[in-house]
Amino acid sequence: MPRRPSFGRNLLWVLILLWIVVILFPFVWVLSLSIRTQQEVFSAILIPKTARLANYLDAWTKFGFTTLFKNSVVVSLSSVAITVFISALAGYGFSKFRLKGSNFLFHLILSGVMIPPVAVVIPLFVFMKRLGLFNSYPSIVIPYIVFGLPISTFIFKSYIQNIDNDILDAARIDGCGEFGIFLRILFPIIKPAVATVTIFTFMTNWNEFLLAVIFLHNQGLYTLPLGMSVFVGQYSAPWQLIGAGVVISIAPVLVLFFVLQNQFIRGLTAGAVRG
Amino acid sequence: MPALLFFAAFLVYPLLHTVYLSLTEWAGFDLKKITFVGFDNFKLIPPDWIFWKAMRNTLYFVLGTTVFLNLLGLALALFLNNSARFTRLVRTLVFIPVLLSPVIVGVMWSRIFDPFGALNQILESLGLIKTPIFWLGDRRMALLSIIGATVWQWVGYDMILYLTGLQQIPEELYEAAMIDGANRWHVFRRVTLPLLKGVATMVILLNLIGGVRIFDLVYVMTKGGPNHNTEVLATHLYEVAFWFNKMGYASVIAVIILAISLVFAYSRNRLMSEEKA
Repeated sequence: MPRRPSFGRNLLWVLILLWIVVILFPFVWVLSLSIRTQQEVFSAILIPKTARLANYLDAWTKFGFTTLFKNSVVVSLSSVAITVFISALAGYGFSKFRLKGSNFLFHLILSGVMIPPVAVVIPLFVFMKRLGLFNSYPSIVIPYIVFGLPISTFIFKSYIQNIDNDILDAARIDGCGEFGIFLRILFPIIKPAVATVTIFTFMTNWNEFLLAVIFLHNQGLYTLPLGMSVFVGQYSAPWQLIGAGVVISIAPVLVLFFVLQNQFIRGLTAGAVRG
Repeated sequence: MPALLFFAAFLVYPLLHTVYLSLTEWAGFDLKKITFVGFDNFKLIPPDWIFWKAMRNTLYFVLGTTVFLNLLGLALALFLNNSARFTRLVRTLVFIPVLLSPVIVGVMWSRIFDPFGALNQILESLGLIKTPIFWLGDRRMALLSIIGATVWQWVGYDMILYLTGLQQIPEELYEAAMIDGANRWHVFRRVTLPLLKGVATMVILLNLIGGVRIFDLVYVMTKGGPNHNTEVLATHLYEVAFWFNKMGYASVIAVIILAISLVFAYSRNRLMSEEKA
């Protein structure tokens, strides 16, 4: 690429650095907030005199992070596991078998991508009440699966389509059942797609708020985002505790991200490039 | 072989059906109401000033975020389109907010925008303002502040998509343009931009579609206030349905959100398939 004259280039650097400051500032500030004393909360400082780590303990008990994390893990993991299993199977079916109507069915599933959850939240609410599932794990796990399926099926279908039929046929000749093929032959091959779908659906469900706020009314069922929003709003919690709470809730995600950076970026942008 | 498809169908179908049902049932729910009360629910729309405010705010929000996200995202992508270690680090940093729950983003930014929060502290110590600005309490500033927080969160996402687009442009085109004596602006104007059209269409529509759904951030930061000046369609629906229990009327709002989303989704599909052809 051709180079700009150095003045313009320096200006660009300044702008980029400015944006990095904008991006990072909230994190730094919240981190600083989280170790301040009550008196320092509103002062314009970045480094407090002493680091009050006790804030973290206070925040942990006050917000009830043990419960929040447990609920978020249960909800996210179960919905992701089921989504991956079903959509991998469906992707296999749609890509390697031709049956009447399967094309139509696939497009029907895919059109689910276009439906914003907020537009179907009322019938879902009625539905869950009728089934007696309202205010329970399944009341959000089921919608999470449903909303995760379209894009996941699409990702699996596109991935499995490119796999050579010979491998599958060879296994078939060796007398492997269809389900055996799926589990033993296909699953190891499609691991990258599994990673993509897992990360995408996990992050979506981990961060989801709308369905949680509508379906979960029991404090013992609150997920992380729901708990944060309720506790921050309700008790007008002291700022240093809010800061610590924010740090606690984003730390695990950040750690995961730095370990699996590329998979994360690929996984999270996968939703964008569907046809 | 068919056994597998059956198996798949048996597992997929019920869930598919749930998606489908959630639609028909929603439509059915609404239709039942329609047979009951006719179009009365729809008649409630015109006099509902909060609805129109929500509609206008949603529009501002969608346009504002889409414009800023694309300009900033593209600018960052253009500048960070090389593989030096530093640029890789910057890309990672810019992407981090994408990972966060909008609720957490809302909690962070509502403290920053608080009259006693970080933003006013900075502005005051720089001597730019004398009295604190009520970012989220001010009629004009509140929606802008929410747009700001949204752009902060998602700019990394758009950047990555634009980067993917940039990396698909063959290097030879740039070389050819250089040999023909084009300057950098010309190269950008004649080579980069036209070839990014497909990606840009995708990103813009993605932002539009995402914008229509906005709920979390508004709910956490302002709950639609002050005086409904940050009310958006989704928060209005939530209030009507779950605070005032007017499910029928809320369904009308749901239909409107769905209609807008489908228009965007449809034009996206049209434009994308044109791009491929």
